[in-house]
Amino acid sequence: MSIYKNNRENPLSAVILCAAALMCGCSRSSAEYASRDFFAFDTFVSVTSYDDDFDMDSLEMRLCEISDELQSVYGADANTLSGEYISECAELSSVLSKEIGGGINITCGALTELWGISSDNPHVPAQDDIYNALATICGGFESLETLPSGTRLDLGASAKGYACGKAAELLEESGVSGGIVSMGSSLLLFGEKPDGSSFKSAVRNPENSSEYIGIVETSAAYVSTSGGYERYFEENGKRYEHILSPETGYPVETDLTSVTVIIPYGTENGGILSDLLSTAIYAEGTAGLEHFMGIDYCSIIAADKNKNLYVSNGVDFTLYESSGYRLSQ
Amino acid sequence: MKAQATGSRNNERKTLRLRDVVIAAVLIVLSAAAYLFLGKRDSGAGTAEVYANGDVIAKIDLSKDGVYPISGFDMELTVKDGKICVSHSDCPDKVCERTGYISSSYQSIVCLPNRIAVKIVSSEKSDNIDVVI
Repeated sequence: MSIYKNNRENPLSAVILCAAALMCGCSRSSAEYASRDFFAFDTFVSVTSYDDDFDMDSLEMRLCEISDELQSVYGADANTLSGEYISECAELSSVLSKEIGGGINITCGALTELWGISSDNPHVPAQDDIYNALATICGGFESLETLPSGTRLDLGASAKGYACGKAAELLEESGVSGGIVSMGSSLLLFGEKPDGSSFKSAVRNPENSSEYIGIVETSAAYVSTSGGYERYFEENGKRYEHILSPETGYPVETDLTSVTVIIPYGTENGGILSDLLSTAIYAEGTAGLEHFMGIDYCSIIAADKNKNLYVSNGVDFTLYESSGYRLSQ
Repeated sequence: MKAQATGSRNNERKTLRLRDVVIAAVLIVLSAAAYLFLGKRDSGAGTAEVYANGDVIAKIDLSKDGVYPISGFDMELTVKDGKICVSHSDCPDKVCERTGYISSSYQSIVCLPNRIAVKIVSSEKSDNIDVVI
């Protein structure tokens, strides 16, 4: 009976399955979902929503509002700053960067300005000026008003991650089923994809940013990448990267070229933590990897100058062999 | 009684089979049409969108090799073999020029100082990726 049933009924189910498969083949690629692109947080922000009725306008407005407020820290003494987002981002950055270690200090704004890192005219400053800028860096603080005059903020290692966390709050409120907020070096992978499959993020090749070293598959998460390969300048034949050490006053010396940190969605302060951690790990180099690999709430994919890749246990990472990178044991 | 029941079931089966064939035929024709129509639209080298300050100002067909100046900016795009790059920019950091050629969906080139972005919007080469970090 069961054989008869199979033989007789399967042709139709097979046809329906084929048709369904063909239809799926025609289903929309992510590029065709509702999307919005705009400049904010000193980068190109790309939002994709898996629901068509999602209110892109209000998300863009809120993110630009946050971006504008955080941008205002540049060129102003920290103790004169006000605003809900600035205080929250700065205070969280201060507390969390101390917790995770790795020498990030967000009160190094005077140093960043001195180097002109994100200005039109970056240059190597005079040593005396570097000493003066280093003197304005504070060990830690409770609130912005308590910082001495002359101390300036640099939220470069936390603003985008913080904003991804804020975007997550907005997406939660909207009730959207899933989507992606990409801020260049920080991502929010939110909710679920329509087909329920995992999110596939391609990790850029630090040697050639139009290619990838591989693909990491995750469920909803915050993902941030740090590397010196994009923003740098050259002077007298020497390359100076954009991540500065609050110890030496010079760009960090590291043997890593790219660090990607993945923190599962739902982790407290996951967005800002992923951003801070990727910078901290990058700055510490391979010597600090063992310590950071031990943190249970984050996963790491780190590439070094010899094209070795260090990947945390349990990460679903597919290496592109053609990239020339190899997994380190 | 038993024979009658079997007979009517056989009849039912026959009708069902006819309906099956019709449904199947319709589905096959529909999906083939959809496949051909949508497949055709996605074929070719793909398209790049050029954004100025977040707004699309140009769409470039990547099957047409050439040099495309971006109007209003001292920037130039070059399309070659289905790939596109920023071949010239007056910006100070040159991050956009250093990015090199891109050709897969989800890849983009960003020039922050000029607030210009080039994004591949349709391409056969998507590698099943959702996003690039």
